[in-house]
Amino acid sequence: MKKKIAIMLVLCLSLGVFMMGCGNSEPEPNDVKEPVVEDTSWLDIKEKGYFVMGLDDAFPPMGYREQGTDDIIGFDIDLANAVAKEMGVEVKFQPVIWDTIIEELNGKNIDLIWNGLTITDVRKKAMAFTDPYIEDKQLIVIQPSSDIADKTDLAGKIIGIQAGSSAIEAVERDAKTYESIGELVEFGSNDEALLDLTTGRVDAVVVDEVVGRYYKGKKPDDYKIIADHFGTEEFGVGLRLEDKAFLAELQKALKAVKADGTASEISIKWFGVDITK
Amino acid sequence: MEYVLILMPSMLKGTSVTLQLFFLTLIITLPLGVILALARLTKFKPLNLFMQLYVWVFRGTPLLLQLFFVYFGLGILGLKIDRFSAAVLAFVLNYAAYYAEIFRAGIQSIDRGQYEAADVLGLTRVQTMTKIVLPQVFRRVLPPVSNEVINLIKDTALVYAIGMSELLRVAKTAAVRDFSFIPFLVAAVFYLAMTGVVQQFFKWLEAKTNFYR
Amino acid sequence: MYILQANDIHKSFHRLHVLKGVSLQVKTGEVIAIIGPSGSGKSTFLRCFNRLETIDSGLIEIQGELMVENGPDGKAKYKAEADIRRLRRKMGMVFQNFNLFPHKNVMQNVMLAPMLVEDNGVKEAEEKARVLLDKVGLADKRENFPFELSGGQQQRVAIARALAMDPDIMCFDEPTSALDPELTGEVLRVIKDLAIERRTMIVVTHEIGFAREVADRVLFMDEGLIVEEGKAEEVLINPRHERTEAFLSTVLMAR
Repeated sequence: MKKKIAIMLVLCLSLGVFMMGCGNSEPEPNDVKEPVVEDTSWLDIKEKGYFVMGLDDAFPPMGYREQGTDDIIGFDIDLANAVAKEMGVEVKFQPVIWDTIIEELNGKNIDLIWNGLTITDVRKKAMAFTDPYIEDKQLIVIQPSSDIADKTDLAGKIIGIQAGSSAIEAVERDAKTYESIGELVEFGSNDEALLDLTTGRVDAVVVDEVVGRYYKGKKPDDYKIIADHFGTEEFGVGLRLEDKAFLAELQKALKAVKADGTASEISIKWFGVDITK
Repeated sequence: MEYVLILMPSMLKGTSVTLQLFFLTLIITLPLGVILALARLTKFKPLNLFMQLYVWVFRGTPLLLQLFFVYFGLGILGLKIDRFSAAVLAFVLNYAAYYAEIFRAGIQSIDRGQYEAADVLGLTRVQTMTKIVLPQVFRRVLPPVSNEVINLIKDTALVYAIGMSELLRVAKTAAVRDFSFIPFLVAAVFYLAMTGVVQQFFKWLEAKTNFYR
Repeated sequence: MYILQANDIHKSFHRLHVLKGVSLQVKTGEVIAIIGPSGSGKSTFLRCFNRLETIDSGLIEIQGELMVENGPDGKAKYKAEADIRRLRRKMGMVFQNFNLFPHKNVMQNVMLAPMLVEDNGVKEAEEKARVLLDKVGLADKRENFPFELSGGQQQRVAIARALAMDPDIMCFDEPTSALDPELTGEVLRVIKDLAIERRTMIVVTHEIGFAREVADRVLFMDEGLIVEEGKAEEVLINPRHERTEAFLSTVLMAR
């Protein structure tokens, strides 16, 4: 999934250096010896009656703008609304840019990130995650005419991938395949990578299942998805590390929504199958 | 064609964000640029030095970075302003630095004889500035100013970085959703329309004030 | 009483001593020509009278009113800014390069100062400008912009602009030096007309023939000093000083 962690870290660092002294306000998860500040995160949200959900509104099918109406829709939107209802609050949607989600979160412009966010060890240091709600594969998309049948066929080939995405990590983890491929070309976003696949400048694109299936649905004749993949990952909701009370409430509500079948319903609506976890 | 019509409402909404930012920035920046140019030319050393520093900082760093600092940086320092105000503030700070330099060069390009002629006729310094020097400066700086104004239209696209849905961002959103290149084409037409109007306006203004050889 | 009095004026630019103690007394109605080689300080001297140049030491008085005199330390001390602005208005100035306001048309150039400085109404300023433009022969160019005029026409507008402030003294700083030879005549004719009206004038010029015809008195300056001074025909026809003679012969030869 999209992440651009490196850029985020550079930005944190530069902000820290320039705005002297603000470095101290950066959360330090390992250091809990400081005097404990009372956690009012959930009380605050209950009081104002809503939480602000940050998302990239150009990320179908998880969260995007509906054609014509311009409303923000998507799987994550439906699920967030269901969870908020369970909690007795509302959701306000705030489009943000992936490069700056950490700043948006820590600057309290948003209360959480809910946008097909892959849970990774690196990210766990910067934010708190709920339990996973979706299991997602890293798919290999090729041209219908291509003779690539599995990962071994990727040897010497050019692979398109979204810059800073968790797909890159997934490919890198598969050391044997990673060594064999010809070149890894990074694109600004998944759609650009897939567009370049149609021109044949890349031989295959590695992309999240939810995204890959969405675009395959858009242009069924242009793409083929092979069975082999680069492993599974999980999506979670990201919160500020210190907002433990809010996290607990959210967790509870998410569990309830999964238990009563609402989550599966939403999954079937968007993906045709239940991929919730 | 039908698809373009479907895109229209959101594209127009994005354009309105772009235009609001554009006009607000322009209205604040142009007079501010003159004031800053005069401050830059003052013989009062601290003010002069401050202006040099200001121009250096805001002309010497990317506008995108300034947007981040104004929006996120000030937020960290406890000064929380909404996205639109942050965008306007960053654009004003940045463009005022450019305009200040353009106007400074314009003022310095006015012949000393103009000041002397005004002097011997008994005009005060304020009259000399407002009636003699600045009107000529405006005429002379029209070409570089029109350049910057057109740049401003295009630079508004940068506010996507603080999560604002301006024209290009809206196009990108649609392009990703519909997996189509057409939204970008539509955006290009919109930008060309806006810059075209500005270009024609300045052409008209230059012709109208053509009192030089 | 003199209409203009300048005593022992000294002026340096950095290390360069441009005026080394020059003096001039002008009576009402007198026409004075200042001649001399370039770099002699003649233009600088003229520009001191309305403080386009500030002097280092000396005294300048206009109609008996002091503009600048030496302080106790022997250095020039000017009167307050407002006083100087008032005194300046008594002095009309015509520049070598015209210095018309390019963004204003001919009428506006002439009307500007009366309206801004003298608080004339539009009607009054317009009337005055019409009369003056008729006088300098530019009645048909009122609506034109400076760039549409020849150099000679521009200089005549500049003269009208200076006259619009009803100055007591008209100063001309090489008024024909920037003009093509065939255009100098029309400008000199206008200045001659002013001389006939017995206007007090100080003209820095290279036009020896013109100086002889118009000036009551001629000053020859060289190297920051007045070398010779006297009636026009005396200085220009029978110079006593050899430097004057040398200068005159080169100027006349060049013509």
